[in-house]
Amino acid sequence: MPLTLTRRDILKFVGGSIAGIMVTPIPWKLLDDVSIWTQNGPWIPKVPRGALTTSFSTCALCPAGCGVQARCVNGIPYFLSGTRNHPVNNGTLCPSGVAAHHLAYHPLRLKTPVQVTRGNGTIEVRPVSLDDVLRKISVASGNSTGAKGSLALLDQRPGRTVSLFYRKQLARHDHGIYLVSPTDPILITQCLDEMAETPFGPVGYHLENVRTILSFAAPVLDGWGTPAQTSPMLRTRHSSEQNAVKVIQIDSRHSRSAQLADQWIPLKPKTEAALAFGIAHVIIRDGLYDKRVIGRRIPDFNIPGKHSYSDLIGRFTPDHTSELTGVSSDVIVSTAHSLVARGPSVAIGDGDSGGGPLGKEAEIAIWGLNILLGALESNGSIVQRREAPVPEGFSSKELSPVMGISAIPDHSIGLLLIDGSDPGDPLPWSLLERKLIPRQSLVVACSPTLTGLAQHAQYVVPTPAHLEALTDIPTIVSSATATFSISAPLLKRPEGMTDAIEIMAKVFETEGSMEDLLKQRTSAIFATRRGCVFKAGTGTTVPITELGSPDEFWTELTAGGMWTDDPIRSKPFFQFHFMGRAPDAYQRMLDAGEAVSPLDGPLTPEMLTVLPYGRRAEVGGAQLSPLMTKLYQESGLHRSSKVAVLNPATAKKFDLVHGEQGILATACGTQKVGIRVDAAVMPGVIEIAAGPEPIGQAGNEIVQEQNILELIDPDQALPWRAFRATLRKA
Amino acid sequence: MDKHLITRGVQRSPFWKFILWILPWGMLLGWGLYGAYLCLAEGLNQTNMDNRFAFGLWIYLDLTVIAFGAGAFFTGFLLYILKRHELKSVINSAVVLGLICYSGAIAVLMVDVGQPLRAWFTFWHPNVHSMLTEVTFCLTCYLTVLILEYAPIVLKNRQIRKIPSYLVFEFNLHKLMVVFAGVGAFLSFFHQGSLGGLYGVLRGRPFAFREELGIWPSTFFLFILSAMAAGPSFILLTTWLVEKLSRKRLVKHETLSYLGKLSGIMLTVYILFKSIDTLIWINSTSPSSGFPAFEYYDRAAFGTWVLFAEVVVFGLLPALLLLRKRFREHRGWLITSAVFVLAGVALNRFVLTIQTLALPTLVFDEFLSYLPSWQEVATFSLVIAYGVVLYSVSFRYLPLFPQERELAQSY
Amino acid sequence: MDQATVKQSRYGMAIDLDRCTGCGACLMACAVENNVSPGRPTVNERTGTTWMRVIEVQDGRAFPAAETAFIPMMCQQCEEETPCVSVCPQNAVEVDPETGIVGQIPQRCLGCRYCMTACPYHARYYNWWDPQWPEGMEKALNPDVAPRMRGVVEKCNFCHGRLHDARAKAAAKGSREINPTDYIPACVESCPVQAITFGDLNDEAADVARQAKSERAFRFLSRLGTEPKVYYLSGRSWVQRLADRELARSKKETVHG
Repeated sequence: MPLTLTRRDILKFVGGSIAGIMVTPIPWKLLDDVSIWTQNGPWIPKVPRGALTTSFSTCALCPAGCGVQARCVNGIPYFLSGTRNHPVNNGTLCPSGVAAHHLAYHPLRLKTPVQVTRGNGTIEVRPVSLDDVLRKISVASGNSTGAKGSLALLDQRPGRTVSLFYRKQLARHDHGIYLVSPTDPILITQCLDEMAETPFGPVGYHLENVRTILSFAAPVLDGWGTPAQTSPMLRTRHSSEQNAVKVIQIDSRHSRSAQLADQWIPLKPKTEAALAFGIAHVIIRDGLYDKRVIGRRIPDFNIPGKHSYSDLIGRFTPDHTSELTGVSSDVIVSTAHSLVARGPSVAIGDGDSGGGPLGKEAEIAIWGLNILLGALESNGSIVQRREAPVPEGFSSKELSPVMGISAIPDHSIGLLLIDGSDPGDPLPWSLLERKLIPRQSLVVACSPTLTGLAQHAQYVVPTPAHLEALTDIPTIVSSATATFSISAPLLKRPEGMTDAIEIMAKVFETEGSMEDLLKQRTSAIFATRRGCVFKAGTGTTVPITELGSPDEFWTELTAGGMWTDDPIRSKPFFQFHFMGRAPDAYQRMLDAGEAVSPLDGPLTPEMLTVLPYGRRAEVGGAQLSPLMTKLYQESGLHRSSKVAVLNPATAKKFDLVHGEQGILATACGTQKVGIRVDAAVMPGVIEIAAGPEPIGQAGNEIVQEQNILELIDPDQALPWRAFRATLRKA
Repeated sequence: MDKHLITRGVQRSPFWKFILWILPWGMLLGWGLYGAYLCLAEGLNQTNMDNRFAFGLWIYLDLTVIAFGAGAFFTGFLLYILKRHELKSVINSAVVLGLICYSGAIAVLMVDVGQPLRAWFTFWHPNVHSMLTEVTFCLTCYLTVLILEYAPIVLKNRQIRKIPSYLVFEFNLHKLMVVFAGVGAFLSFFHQGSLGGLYGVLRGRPFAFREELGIWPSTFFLFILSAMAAGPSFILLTTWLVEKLSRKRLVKHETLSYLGKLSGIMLTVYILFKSIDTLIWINSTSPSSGFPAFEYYDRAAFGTWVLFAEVVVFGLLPALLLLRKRFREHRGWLITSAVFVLAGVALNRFVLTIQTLALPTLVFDEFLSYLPSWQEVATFSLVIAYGVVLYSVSFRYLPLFPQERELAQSY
Repeated sequence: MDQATVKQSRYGMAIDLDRCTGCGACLMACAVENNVSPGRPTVNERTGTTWMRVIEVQDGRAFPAAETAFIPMMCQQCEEETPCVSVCPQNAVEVDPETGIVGQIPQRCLGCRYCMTACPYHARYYNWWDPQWPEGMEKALNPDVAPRMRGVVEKCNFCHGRLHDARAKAAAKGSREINPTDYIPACVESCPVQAITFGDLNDEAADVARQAKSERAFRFLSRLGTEPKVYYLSGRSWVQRLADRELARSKKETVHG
């Protein structure tokens, strides 16, 4: 039978097929898949596609200098983790470090040089050319001659190789000042110079030896040392291990270290010196120190007929100390005894990044405790170390001295140049401002973002962001030996970014390039053939002698490597004048010890004591990834500068309610804060972070940052770790 | 002006007066639409709900109006299936109320979900274990039924009746009413129950979690019972309110009294089971999950008075009143009791929605508070305004109360 | 797939609360890994998205005796009667029978938030806003995880992208079983004190299985009967008593979050 196909047959076939397919899962599955996979709106960014690679560098956000391993897509880092076996962090990172690759996309990132105008609560910026800024600097610099004021350079990251460059250039300038934020490590260096019979050099801590740490407000468990130093201590908390490090935290604040420590001894704010004297008193009274050694170590320990260290200490009986500090005399006695019984012990005094330094006298008092405890003896945990070698031409004689803010006369700076906007250790603008010549000074900041002090400059020149810039990491204060590492760029810098060194070089009419400078430094280090090198790629450490050339050394360092100096084997004999060699030393120390805490200040019942604080690498806006809202806003884990925390009883007394808004006020200004009560906080105080601030951009307006440190009275600013203020309902 | 649209033999206020009445509601409707628009366009960040208070005013509204709207299915069931002809005089009004409640609830639900365009996924990837699937299926089907029930009322309009084919259609629809009533009752049974089950299955929220009876938690049955108690009271109350507002007698007192009696009986049954359920929950279900029950009533304003109010003041008390003929015959008592019944059911829905979420689960959780944003309130009032407008229009142009003409003549 | 030849895993975690320092590195690493976007200016603790959230808890004693613990809280991966799975009307929450991981399919999610009310751990997060990244930052997103849009719920899935990668690695070697060192969630990787142990609870040799059986181990709200697969460890009795309301009461201690 011939096969004839009519149109009708074809239609029937097609129709039948369609109907048939409809009873199979095919069309439904198709619809299903389409319905699912088309459901992400086209405005939602698509994830990047491309080659996946791994690179290494070093984190430059804080002084620790952790090794960073970056997983990259198309060469752009998308996930950071700690470099395995790195001597500083051994594979770990802090939350800021984890999100550090976002800083290049900071909402307040600058693209061009700008002129900054501060309006009412907001900031306006006007793009200008780099030449314009340089011309302004040149005029101001020409004016900065003696009568018309000096030229100051504020280095927000002192100790880098470029810092040496700045100091060298400033030394050549007639009225050049090298200015840094006041910090305890800098104070300690100054103290040691003042106290030591013979130059002593930098010190470091060998915490592996220690069984008891007595921390005076130092964030020892929360960013003081390196992760490699603190992680083992933190891992053995609450464990029954005999040799676990015991941390005694002396802190007015219920800080993170106080929370994590084995024992928290709260004391009245600003009475650290008295407590150190009180503990020393018990050690001496009960003969808990090595008498053979101490007499030789401390020339002013006991001078017949003159005020001596033992006279000073003698005044701080447990009862008297208890009165001054609020710590019970039992605790003072038992602490002194346990420090000796559970040795080796070390006392560490260091304010945090927001609270600022403890002050020179408190540091001297703590230092005395260390000598009594034998921490400087040959089996002790405080060690001398060398500085990382510097290239020729950078010896200390050729450098401008390091100046603290208080050493500078008011209204004396004509041109202020700021390198970096966000330091680990913030300097209140109000302190800086009064050093400037009113209405005639020029302030220029070099900063990647319009945050921190850059908001107060007249001009800001954009610099490469974190992980775009080449910089070095100086030795951290806690390190027992000198170290050196380089944060090499992982990201290409955008057009229009200028390294701060280039601007400064132009100001000083010289040449300067970060790469050349760092290559000189690495060559100088390499030339000593000392120490060993950590290689990030393999996770191994080799003696520097195994590297063939400075270039090879450079290659390792720029790929996330690190140089560590050999330790100094023998400790030299040292002598310290305990109260320093100044004629008024006794009185100064006595005044420091007897100082009345702001908590016991004049009886004005509405006054509370503000304790500002800050966590390392989290204080400044430029260090904050936009994603850090997770910590500060989206969870209560860290508190922003907008949250004031106080004891429930204090809150009740001042009629303040948890969760409501309050106005914090001093004679210098007011700030709006959210109120939070916490039963663990000392009554009568307000704990409030000096940073970070939730990122200040609402719509197209840039909101001015409001730092709690701006409320400090500049007349009696230092140290600013506690000051009085009122807090009332908003 | 619109006289030719108004049902023959009944009096309606002048058109301008009607417009004057509608106008403020229309404005409220507009405000509500704007609020809802904001929520749809900008997202639910416009609301004060959050990750911890994931349900808020809207879900509370949904649960409450659907319970109130239960009068439609319950009356239909009694009238068409059980042949209780006393209810003939309110059935049309009940259907309109049901339609308003259900369509309003669904409209708010569409604003409440984050991705309304994906609403059809529930039909596409249904999770048969989810109470919400059951709710969605039944609500959608029942809304269709309600529209079909509403259609013949619309077709009874004086002008529409003139078109012969519509008349035939209406007549045929009417014959199917028994089927609709049956289907409606079946669907309502499930979604009222599932709405209760919604909370009863929350194992992670021991305040709401209840033991299972069969495959459903006890709240499933309690919701059905409480809805059956609330429905007649809601019809009673609205009818009385419309009588007051229109200054007309619309139904005979016996009808209202009968509605009150229905409410009273259902409420008594409900309160009985609710009390048993509460005792089991306090003494067994909750403690066995590690949650001492008295802790629930130890927080902020949520004392045991809430439970007392729900079971005794707004439960037992109106139930007893409504069971007594003497009180039912008295207008004042009847209306007050109806208001109490509704308050009790509304309080129950409030407690389940809001208190459940406010109470902490983890030991270190805090008791939470929540205050709706204006956008949420606007969307809420959208439903109220929509209901008033739709009811007013229906009342004006459709024969909602068949007894009205008869009662008007007897005056 | 032939079920018999594939090893059934029950992935779980053990978190040592005596080690956790509340630094927040896990929280950040989680957000980075899973392409969670930065919060809007008005975001707060109740509208934010933190799949991993670290909660600070005190023992309720007043100054100066107060003791603190930090509790990393994320999806507890309930095994029995998983509260969020049964409530989802459109199967957007599913338990992977091969791994025991409770997964969320955001592309299918309606945004009804019923699962959020069901979760006693508050581990589920709703996208109240569309995700938004500062200009250029979208180039730094994790290529393995798709961002979610407004109006859907999301939560911890033990870093599904990493599981996927580990499977791909195993497949490249011709194996079906993944190497445990290839599959480590971001929070585990980033914890500076190694407080989090992750692995297969079915694997007796695994650290996590051993720790889950430790005397110090407990689970939050275990009496709900949902059998969470995240264990917590502490030797401190007040921390252990946080597990359960009845326990917390029995010692007449009040606890503040």
